[in-house]
Amino acid sequence: MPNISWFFTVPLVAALLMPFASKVHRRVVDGLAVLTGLVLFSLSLGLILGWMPAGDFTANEVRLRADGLSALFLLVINSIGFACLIYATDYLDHLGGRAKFYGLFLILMLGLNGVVLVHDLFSMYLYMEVASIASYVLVAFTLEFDGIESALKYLLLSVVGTALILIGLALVYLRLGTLEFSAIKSLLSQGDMPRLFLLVGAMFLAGFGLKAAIMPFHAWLPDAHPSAPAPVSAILSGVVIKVSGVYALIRIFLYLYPRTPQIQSVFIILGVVSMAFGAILAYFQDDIKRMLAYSSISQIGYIMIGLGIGHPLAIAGALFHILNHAQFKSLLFLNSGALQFRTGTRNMTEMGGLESRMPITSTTSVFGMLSISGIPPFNGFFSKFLIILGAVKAGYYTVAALAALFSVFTLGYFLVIQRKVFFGKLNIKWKDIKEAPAAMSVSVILLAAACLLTGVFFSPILSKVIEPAVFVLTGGK
Amino acid sequence: MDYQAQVMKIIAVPLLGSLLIPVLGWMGRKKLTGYLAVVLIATTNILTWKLIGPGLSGQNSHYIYPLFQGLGVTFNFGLNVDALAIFMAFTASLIATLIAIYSLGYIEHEEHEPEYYFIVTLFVGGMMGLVFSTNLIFLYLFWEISALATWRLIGYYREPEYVWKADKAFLVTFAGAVFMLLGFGLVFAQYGSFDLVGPGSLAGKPISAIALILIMAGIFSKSATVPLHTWIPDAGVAPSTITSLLHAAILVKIGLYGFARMFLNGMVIPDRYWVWILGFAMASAFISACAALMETNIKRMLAYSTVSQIGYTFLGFAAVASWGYIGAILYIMAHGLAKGGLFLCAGVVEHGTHTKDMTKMGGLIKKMPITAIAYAVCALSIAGIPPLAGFFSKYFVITGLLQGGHPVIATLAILTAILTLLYMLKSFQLVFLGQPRGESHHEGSPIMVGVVAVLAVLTIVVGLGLQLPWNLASKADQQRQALAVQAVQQREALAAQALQISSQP
Repeated sequence: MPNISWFFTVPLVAALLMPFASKVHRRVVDGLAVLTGLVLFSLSLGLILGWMPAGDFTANEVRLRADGLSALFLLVINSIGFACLIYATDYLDHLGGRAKFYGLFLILMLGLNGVVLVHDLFSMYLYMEVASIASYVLVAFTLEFDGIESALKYLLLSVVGTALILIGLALVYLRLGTLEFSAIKSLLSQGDMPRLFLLVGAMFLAGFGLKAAIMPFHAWLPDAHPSAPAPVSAILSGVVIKVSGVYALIRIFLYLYPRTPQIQSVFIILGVVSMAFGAILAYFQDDIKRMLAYSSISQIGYIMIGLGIGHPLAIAGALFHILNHAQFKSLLFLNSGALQFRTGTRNMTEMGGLESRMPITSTTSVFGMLSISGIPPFNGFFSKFLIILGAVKAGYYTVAALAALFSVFTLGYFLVIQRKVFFGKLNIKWKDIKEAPAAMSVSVILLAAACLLTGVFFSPILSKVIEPAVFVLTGGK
Repeated sequence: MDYQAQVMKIIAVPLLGSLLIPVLGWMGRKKLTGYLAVVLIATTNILTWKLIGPGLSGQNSHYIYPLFQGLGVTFNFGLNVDALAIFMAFTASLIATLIAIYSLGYIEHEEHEPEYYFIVTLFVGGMMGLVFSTNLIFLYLFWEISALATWRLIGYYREPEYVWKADKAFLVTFAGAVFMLLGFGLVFAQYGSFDLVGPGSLAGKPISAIALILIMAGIFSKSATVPLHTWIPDAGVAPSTITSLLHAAILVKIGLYGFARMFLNGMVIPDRYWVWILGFAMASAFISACAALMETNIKRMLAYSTVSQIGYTFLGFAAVASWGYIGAILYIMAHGLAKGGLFLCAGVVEHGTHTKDMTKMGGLIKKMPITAIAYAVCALSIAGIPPLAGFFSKYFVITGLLQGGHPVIATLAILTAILTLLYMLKSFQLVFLGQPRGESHHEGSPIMVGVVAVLAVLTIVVGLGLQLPWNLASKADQQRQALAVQAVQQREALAAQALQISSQP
């Protein structure tokens, strides 16, 4: 009978088997990786649908807990991980090092699963580091100069963040004598919050904010995400920043800390700044992956705004946006990977009219664009709309107007991608290129279908996936 | 009687059917995609016929399907079958069918054929969904399907400049729509519902000034009303079938229909704001009529004329009087038929002469007699010459303005009508009369000329046999008045209640 500990054991065992599998045949390695992805994805679906027992799991001093919030994040991690693994089977043809890549990738997924399943701050920190170390290496996996340079930049900036988090942990332990979530929650909710916790909060905000690449802690992201191999960029932008950054912020500030107006306004201000500058800077990029990276910063801003507003609708919108953004941003990064795979460049001005040569990449990127700019019936519309609706209901009219305005900006710079890359006259240079290989196409088709279907069937997803997560935070039902 | 199944079919046939078209394209049967599109759109139109009878006998029912409830919000999907919706669905799908048939002759040798027919059919599906929806969220959903379609269609020829103009159209209409959505949010925050009809709905609820401005931004951007109109003359770079579809059958009518649906059959605009809407509509009608007079590019001239006529239709709605309302509804049909015909004539002319510049044309009446006559009929209808359809609708709108107590606006409207006649005659004279300029010309293919002739004949038929559309439009007006009376009663009841509470010791 599977239980929630399988989210660790399955990728761990598979990662350990990789070197042996590579002795047999490279297709065995591919098969093992995709199968692991499928198992993990099915487990996360099973958890959502109630086929697998949620709640606590205790064995040998290990305590795991899967509540509604964890279940949402598990779905995000393992669905996107699965799609990226399928994609990687063809993408790695020009990189090599399959077994190492899959091993690291699965350890990354293990770390992310760990972050959302554990029930104390220290283990959360630990698993976050597991995921981070795997992702530093994956960013540098191409072994090209800019990959290694940006991996080092990522590492050095992250170290500052983790140092702050570690000091924060020490202070919490010093003051409360425990790091367990439920204990901290009940201690903090009694009486006035000690003043020390404002300092601790600032440290956590800076540390995890750096992981989430919220402005002004974003400097590493526009370098690290573009230079990584495409499946890695996809999971970094789609999942890693959300799990090691946003999830931790949610756990700490919306779950452990009592809600205060100061924290709310800090979230909103950081969110608006990220949303606005991310979108404006994205507009000026010529490198398609850099544009997508800035767009991620902008979309994280939307999530922060939703969380900061604190109205249940806005929180639901933010959590839904986490799910949706994972889908469409991974899709778009995988599309850009397919372009780079075939054309050998990331510079959009060199491309042009590729829709006739790469119809699948082109069509799925239109799906991604419509989702991210919030055009119904695609998924991004419903999450952005809930955030805006929550903002209006809670009386944050300016924030709502800005969120609406910047979704027009978002459409604006995604139309730039469409105009320069796909929609237009074919650049003769590319008259002989072909569509991306089969596995890469299958992966983007799955993600594009997910974007559309999540939007069309928004109501069961809201009630099955999002609502339970919101109730964890608002204490409802 | 239960009409849900029928309405569902009307929405589903084009919307889901359109998905078959790219499949055909992938299978390499590009030739068939056009025929499939014609079949789907024509089926949609035939399905609407069944509703005309019930519409005439005053059918007015709505169906609400709850989708999501929780987090303090309810999302419903709602269908609304009343005379206005039936009228609109019939008119739009009829014109769209004719345009699709014309496309068979026009788009024949073009690349990207499957995409063209896919988007056109999807567009019609979106329109049908919009027409029958009675929930603001779904109204918005279908509204945006049309924005997406506009973007792909305007950039059809893939020239860099055209794609840029397509992007502009998408961005302008999307920006308007997003602010409209914000307005919906404000309305929801105030009244807690997105439904336009039904218990606990927005029916009869007065909306705030900010919500009104935001929603009008969406409507004006979609309906290309001054000052948010600049994208529509630029949209003329698309194939003529598409401009025809955008101007006549579907796109700009979405804004008009949305206005009528939201503010005349749902929420209530407080009386003091109506004068602003009248002012905007009048300015739009007048300024763009002047612009049309100056324009020499035939498609841009017709585009400005559309902006002007849309302003006219808004005048009819904003008069808030029976004559105005009926006139505006008939205007949608009259303008759709005539402007559709004009753009398709422009398509024939462009095909034959390879230019859009009217000063380089001339004397085409000898080479293209049928097109010339059809153009003349449609142009006279737009200008409001009896007994064509355009005359009656224009006359009713002006009567409505007088009935609503706006004599100054009515005078300006008549002035605009004179300008309209002027630029229409000028364009006819430049294109079809005088000495031939430029090289060889020929009449369009039989299928194209046939469609153009049908539209001209329909313009005459609607004018002569006005009784039927009039009946449907006046039913729509009765339904609007009933709602308005209900809204007043509701407000009085609420006021009385409030008085009672405040007078209690």
